[in-house]
Amino acid sequence: MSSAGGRVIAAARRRVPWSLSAAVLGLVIVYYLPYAVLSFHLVLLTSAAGAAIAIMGLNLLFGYTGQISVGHAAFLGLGGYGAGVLVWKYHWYYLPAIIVSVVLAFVVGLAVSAPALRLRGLYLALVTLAVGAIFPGLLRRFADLTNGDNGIFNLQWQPPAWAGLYGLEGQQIWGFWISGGCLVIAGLLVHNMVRSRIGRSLLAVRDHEIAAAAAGIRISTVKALTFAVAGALGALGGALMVASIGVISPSQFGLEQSIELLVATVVGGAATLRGSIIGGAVYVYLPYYTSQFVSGPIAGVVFGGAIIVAVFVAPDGLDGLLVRITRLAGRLPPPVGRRPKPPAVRDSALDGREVEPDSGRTPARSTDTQTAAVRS
Amino acid sequence: MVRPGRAALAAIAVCTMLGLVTACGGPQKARASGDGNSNCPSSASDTISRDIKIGVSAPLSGQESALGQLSVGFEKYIDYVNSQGGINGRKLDVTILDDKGDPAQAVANAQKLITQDQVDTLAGISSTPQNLAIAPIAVQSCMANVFVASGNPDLAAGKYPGVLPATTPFAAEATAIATDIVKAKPKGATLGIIAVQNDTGNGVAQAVKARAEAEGITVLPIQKLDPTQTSAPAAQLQALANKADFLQLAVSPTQCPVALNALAQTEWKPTTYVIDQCAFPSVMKAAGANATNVRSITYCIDPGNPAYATRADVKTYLAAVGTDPGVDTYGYTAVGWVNGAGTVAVLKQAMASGTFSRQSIIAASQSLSNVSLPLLPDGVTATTSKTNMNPWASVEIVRFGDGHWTSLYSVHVK
Repeated sequence: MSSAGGRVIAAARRRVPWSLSAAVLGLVIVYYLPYAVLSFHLVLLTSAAGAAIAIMGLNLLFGYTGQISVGHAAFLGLGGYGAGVLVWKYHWYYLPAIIVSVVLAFVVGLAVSAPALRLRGLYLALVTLAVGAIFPGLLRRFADLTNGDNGIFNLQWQPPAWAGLYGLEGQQIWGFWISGGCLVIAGLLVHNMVRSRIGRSLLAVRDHEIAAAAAGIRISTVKALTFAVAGALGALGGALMVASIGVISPSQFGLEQSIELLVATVVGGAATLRGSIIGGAVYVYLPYYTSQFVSGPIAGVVFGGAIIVAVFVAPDGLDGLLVRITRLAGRLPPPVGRRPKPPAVRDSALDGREVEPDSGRTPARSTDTQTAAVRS
Repeated sequence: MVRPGRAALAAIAVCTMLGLVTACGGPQKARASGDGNSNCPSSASDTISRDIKIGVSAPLSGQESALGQLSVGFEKYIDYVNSQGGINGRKLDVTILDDKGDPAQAVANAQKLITQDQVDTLAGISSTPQNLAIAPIAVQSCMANVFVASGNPDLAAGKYPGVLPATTPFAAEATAIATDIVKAKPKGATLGIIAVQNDTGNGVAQAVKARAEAEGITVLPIQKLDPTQTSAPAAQLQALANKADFLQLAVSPTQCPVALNALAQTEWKPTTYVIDQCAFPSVMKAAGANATNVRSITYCIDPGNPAYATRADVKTYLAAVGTDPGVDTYGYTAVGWVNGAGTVAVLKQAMASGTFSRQSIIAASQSLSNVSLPLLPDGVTATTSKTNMNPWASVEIVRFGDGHWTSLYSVHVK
């Protein structure tokens, strides 16, 4: 490589944050992935991307701010129905419909945050549980607008002519591009948010509210903002899932889905961006692979069992497990070809105990040796 | 202020996305159809020369899991055909996926069946919402979806080519019920209706109301029932009590026996009709004696009725299905068996057309002509056309008693 090219790269490294580079790389991957993945897995990945966006919101709320929400599926429903009804009933284009539904969910999130200012723990969980339980009933109550239990069909976001995508596979690719692109952008925004002063405020509120308040953090503002952003991200995820699947019904946004989202957040890894993305994959792929082995009611039992195993094996979430494995791998012997570590040497002055060559530290006496010394 | 590095990188990203999309085209361009039908992929006209793959999505779990028995009967029939050597020596391979009664899951299942499992046809899928959700995808892929459990008028009218609904259409059910009411009380009849608020409940209720009023029957305001309600519809019954001499229960299979038991607790004794999806002994069982003399309509016979015990098709069905406690032998399984037989009839006709492809399966589904199927009343055959996909020319008025349904007479509905 020329020295000029090297200088450009070096300058870019200095000036461009890695998160922006990762986002660009993500967008490129999103574009090319449909060429490499079987079309049905593209459908699953599209759903996983939508779920990951929603879980990012839940993670902000639960993982970063410590506010438990057991009704997050209601925000997905708000986004899904908001966009779906505008497209179906009022013939809007999808893009403005999604934007409006996300803004609506932001406002509703602010409203829902009101009880969160006074409640915490189990009591807050019960309030959010009520929101989650009421939502499907509201959809059924306003059947003139939502079509009730009949649901709304044929809502797929069709690819524009310039995209050159045709048929079912073309629609699947378009759905993935949209959802994947939104995941990358949402990930970048959330990453910047949690790394900023706001993010540090979230963690402070989670870890010690009184101390955070004493440090000048406005607890109510932080909580309200988090609920609103979580709601908006949930709505975006829900709207994208509806735009790709093309179907919406009240049964998609019940308590079961809220609990599954919370489980996916914990299993993926709370308070990490990677955990949210892994959580999205867990939300979609775990039921899928479970149903490959068993079907019917027993599938639910296997699904539950898999979650219990995941929580035991990875108490910090799968992201935490990956981090642990990576750290352990760092302690493994170096691969073939790398300079071997010199053997330990015995020092007669230290009763024949080994001295670690790099550190020069001496291991502690063994318990047996200490016991023998006491006896003597 | 945006730093130059960031701006450059963002510009590169946008150019990469837009440039690749517009200059190189999407990955689908090369796969555009060349068969004259812009909606069909070219693979739709490819000859199927291997074993035949059939895809089914069914509620194997969830609130609608009772309807999962439709897929049991369907699979049993396919097993039976395979045991007889298949169709022209070709075996049938059925893949059944659980949709939990959720239309979105049914769509995901259909996408997997079409794109990953590469089935040759969809079939036997239950419930109107699931079938309406799948229909656009099936049409987009030129994939037939035959002998499905839905009475939706759009499906019966052939709005979605290749979708063949086996359930009696709402309008046909309404015609049969109105005919029976007029026969029992030619003048001055009053009808009360309790309808569950879903596509089927509303569809049947509105169709019955319209047809009954056209026949001069007075219809009271429809009483609505929430789909999730499992308790007795006391308020609805109270609103209708002693004001009507006929009652139509357009409710879900789990709500039917509950409503009949609640009705028995009142002094009101109307002639009661249950929706066709309740017209199975296994559904009525929970109502016990309160289900006696309840009427309904159906397009297939009750294999548990002793009057049909000597029929060869009933013997074959009972031998194939067996007495496994997990199988609803005298319920939805029998309908699933009929749907399986109908699907095989469509495939046979498509093969007989010369070119056996997904498109020929669609064509066959639209041109059945007097096809005989097992477990149908005597003289009833399946006939379809592009604009009328309801295969049944007549339905049976049936009455429940002694643990089984008995046919009373046929009503022409086509």
